[in-house]
Amino acid sequence: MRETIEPRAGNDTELIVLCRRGDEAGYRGLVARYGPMLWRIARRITGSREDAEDLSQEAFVRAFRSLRRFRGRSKFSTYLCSIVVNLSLNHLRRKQRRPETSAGSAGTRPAEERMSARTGTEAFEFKEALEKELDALSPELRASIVLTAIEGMSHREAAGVLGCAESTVSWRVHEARKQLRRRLKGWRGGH
Amino acid sequence: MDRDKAERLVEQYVDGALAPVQAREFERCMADDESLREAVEDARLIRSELPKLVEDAPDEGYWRRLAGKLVLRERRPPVRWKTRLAFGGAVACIAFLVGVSLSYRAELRRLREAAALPADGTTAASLTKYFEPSERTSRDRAVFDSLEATYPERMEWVGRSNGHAFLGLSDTPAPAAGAGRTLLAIETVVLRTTAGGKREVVLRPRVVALDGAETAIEVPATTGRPEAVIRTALNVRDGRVGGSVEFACAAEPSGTALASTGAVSLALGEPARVLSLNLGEAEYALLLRSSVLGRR
Repeated sequence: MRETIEPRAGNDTELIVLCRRGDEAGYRGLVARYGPMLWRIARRITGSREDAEDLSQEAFVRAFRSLRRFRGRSKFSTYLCSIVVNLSLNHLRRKQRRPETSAGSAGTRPAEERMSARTGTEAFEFKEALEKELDALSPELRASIVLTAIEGMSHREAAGVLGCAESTVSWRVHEARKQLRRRLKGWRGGH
Repeated sequence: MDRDKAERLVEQYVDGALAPVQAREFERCMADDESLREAVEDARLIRSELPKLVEDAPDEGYWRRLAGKLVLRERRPPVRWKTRLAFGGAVACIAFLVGVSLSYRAELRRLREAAALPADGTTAASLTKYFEPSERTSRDRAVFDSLEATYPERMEWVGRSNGHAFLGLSDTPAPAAGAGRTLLAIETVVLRTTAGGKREVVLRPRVVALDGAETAIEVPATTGRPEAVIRTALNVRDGRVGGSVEFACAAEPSGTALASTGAVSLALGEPARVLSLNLGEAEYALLLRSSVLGRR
């Protein structure tokens, strides 16, 4: 019997059990529930919609492949997020190692370009400037602030996803906001 | 609170994470410092704007399609380990056969090149090989059959010893007349046959010497077994090549020291000589042959 539950119904454990039985409803439920969140995280870390689609898909492939080994020690959402964050960070590192293909990556934009984006374009909305400067943060700082300030995770949850100490996440978030404030100094008036 | 410290505490002040006393101190500092007030405003703005950066993810249709794709992928029958094993085994077998074939071809080519002697016979050929005459199927036998077909007049048995034999090219002409001393290539092959019938070449030095050399040519070597030592000494004098061989090892399992020595010599132009020695349960055969390289 297919579609025994609606995609958004059921808790994670039920959906995982369905997946393990090979029931399509389990896969559909997990993808519908967590797909958009994985996409948003990947999008914010990589700065690219296309990469976000590829990476969120790859995260599901990996998670489903190892679903039988998932023991439920952490929340399934944490497990999925950690996969997509790692994939995104690795993707960024690979891109940074290949500068010729990373021309669009804000993380490696030359300083002059960043400067002109900040000082020479008053027509930019503050949000756009904030997005640009967010993309210019280091991958680790970016991942920490995306999970906490944008996705609304607690520092403890973000630490579980990133595989580091809670204090490390707190420091990264603080540092990221400080860097953003310094880079965006002067935008407040124009906003 | 100085300006620098206050600057470092901006985010914590905005988050309300400062202790009341520290917050009051910060506010006093802020009252006198416009740039600090601006920094606080910036920090508040960033704090409030960050959550608004949430971008709309693709619509539900996209996720439905993706789920369908993932379901199809998950339903693909997994490759069983037996299949993987069989595939790996087949690949390994093919690789092994290719390796053997390449090795055989390389050996054949090397021997063919070595056997391509000039007509005057002044270049040495070190093609002496050990053969059991009955071993018609051995790789070496096949190689020599091939060479024998190519150079029928040059192949011959050059020595025999207790049921095994050495086969090589007949390339040992008498020393050429003329001024100067004869330059010789001297080849030795030491073969060990154990009680179990296992045979192996344990030493195969090849040296170049001038006829009339006063000093012996020492060719020490170990057999690969640390307890056994084989030492050969060669000398060239008055148109004869002399070779002596000394074996020593500890017998197993008693550990008794065993030793055996022997000597063999051959005249220039003589194909080869074989010396057999017994040491414990093993038999050693020494083949000595020389080739004239030219005159110096």
